Amino acid sequence: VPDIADNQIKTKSQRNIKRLNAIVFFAVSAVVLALGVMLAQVTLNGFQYQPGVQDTAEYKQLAGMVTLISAEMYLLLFLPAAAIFFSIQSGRKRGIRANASFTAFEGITYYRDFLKDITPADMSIIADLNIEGKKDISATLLRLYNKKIITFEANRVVLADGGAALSPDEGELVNMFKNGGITKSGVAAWKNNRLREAEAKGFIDAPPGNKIVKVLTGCLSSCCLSVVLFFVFAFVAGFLGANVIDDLEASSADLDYFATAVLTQSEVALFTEILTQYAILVLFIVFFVLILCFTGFWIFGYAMTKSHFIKTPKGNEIAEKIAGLQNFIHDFSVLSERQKEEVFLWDDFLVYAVVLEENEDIVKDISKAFKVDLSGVYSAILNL
Amino acid sequence: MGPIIVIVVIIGVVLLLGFILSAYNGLVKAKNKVKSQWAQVDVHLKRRFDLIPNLVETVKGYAKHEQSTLQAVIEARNKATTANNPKDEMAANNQLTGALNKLFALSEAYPDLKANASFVELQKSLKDTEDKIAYARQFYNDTVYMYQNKIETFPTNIIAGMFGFTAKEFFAAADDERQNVAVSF
Repeated sequence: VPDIADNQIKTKSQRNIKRLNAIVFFAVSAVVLALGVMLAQVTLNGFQYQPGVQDTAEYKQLAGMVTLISAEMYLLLFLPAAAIFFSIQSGRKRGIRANASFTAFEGITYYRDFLKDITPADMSIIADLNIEGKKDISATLLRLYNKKIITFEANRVVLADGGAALSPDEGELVNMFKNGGITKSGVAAWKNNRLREAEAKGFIDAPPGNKIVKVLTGCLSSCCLSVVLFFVFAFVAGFLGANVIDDLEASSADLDYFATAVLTQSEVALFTEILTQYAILVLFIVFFVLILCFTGFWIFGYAMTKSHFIKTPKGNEIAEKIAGLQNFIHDFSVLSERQKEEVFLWDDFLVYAVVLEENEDIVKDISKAFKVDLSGVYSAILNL
Repeated sequence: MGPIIVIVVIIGVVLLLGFILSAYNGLVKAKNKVKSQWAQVDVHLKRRFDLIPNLVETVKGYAKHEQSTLQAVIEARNKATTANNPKDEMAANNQLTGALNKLFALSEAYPDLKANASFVELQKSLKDTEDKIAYARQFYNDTVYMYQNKIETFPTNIIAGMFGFTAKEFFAAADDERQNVAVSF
């Protein structure tokens, strides 16, 4: 896992993860608390006692143990699911942060100028080492609109000037529309080509070391860790489980008796002792299940999110400017409220606002045009 | 007064102070953004004013009989450089834009001037600077918009009134300046 620099380009994914984590945390806490208390109540009400037993200290201990075990059992049922969710989210968060982090050279807080020779796709890739089809295609179309190469008419794109010079990202996009409109494979190819282009321009690079070796090392490490944890768990569980069984055998009571008989005070004391050991055992099970979930799924979440690329020094230099630009657009403008037609006034600043997720309305607006089927229609007009 | 009422009053006062503090800081930040962005506009305006003497000198050599136009440019430039607040500077800048438009229009009648490398270079520099002024002005107007929203909307308008936060001027583009874009280089 790489060191995460403090410098981050704020992406929507980061904001979403924080929001989702908070919601799920409160929801899970509320459910655990409510159901745990309910389960304890139900369990305790299932016992029958001799008169006076419920007033004794032994009974109170037993009640405490039953409540604890109920809560633990409940946690054992629900926590792994929550742990899997949180560990995947946590791994993803780390991956997203790693993608969006950069090394600062100049300490730029606000960058107030255009980034010449940086296409919307370049900017998106440098920002978080990923390219998003809908957003980045919308930004590229907005730029084409600004250059008056295309216009928008009733949720479709019209080619206004076929002879204008196009950059590769724009040219491929226009060609894709000419050849039948936006398709999944077309978008995938466009995205892949933008990544290769950014690599060729020296903004990003494959990290040093053999990728296969690294993947295998990662898998082997996580497997070894899981095996070690499993044996530790088995040892502790075996040790504690044996104690519980010994106690039960020594008590000459069986578990059916536990549920049906009218308990005497001495039996309450005996069950309290047994349940204490049982509670510790379950606690260990909960603990190790959580560790296993966290380690395994954290790695899964991280590996799923972390880009295969890293930023080069040149990429880091531009990333710092992009972060400054994002701060500037966010703090010094209301570009989030602008419409696509205002690109003629704001020029690339509005395109940057789209790429940097400051303005999502324009993406929604432009992407409406994606849905229209182009099949067989092309003269001077392109339906997306 | 019972303890509950005292606690409620204390909580109310703390919340009120928290709100005042937050609103006041928000207003100060918004005001500082306006100032900061005006400083950016000012940098580009100064750059534009600095280009004028050279431009006038270059034109003088080819269009000696256009004294009134040149004089108008110099006066507008002097007025702009001596302006000591954004409002006056905006007005002077708009006046300068009008005068420069006339100057560039008359250059059409002097082919030698149009072909002069120094003149072409100055025109290009002016165009670049004007573009920068235009963008900086748009951002400035947005910061003014955000600031105005704060001082005019409830409840921050109360705090703004209490602490004397006053409205700022938008930097409107002059009609002449829009025409300036049409000048052929």
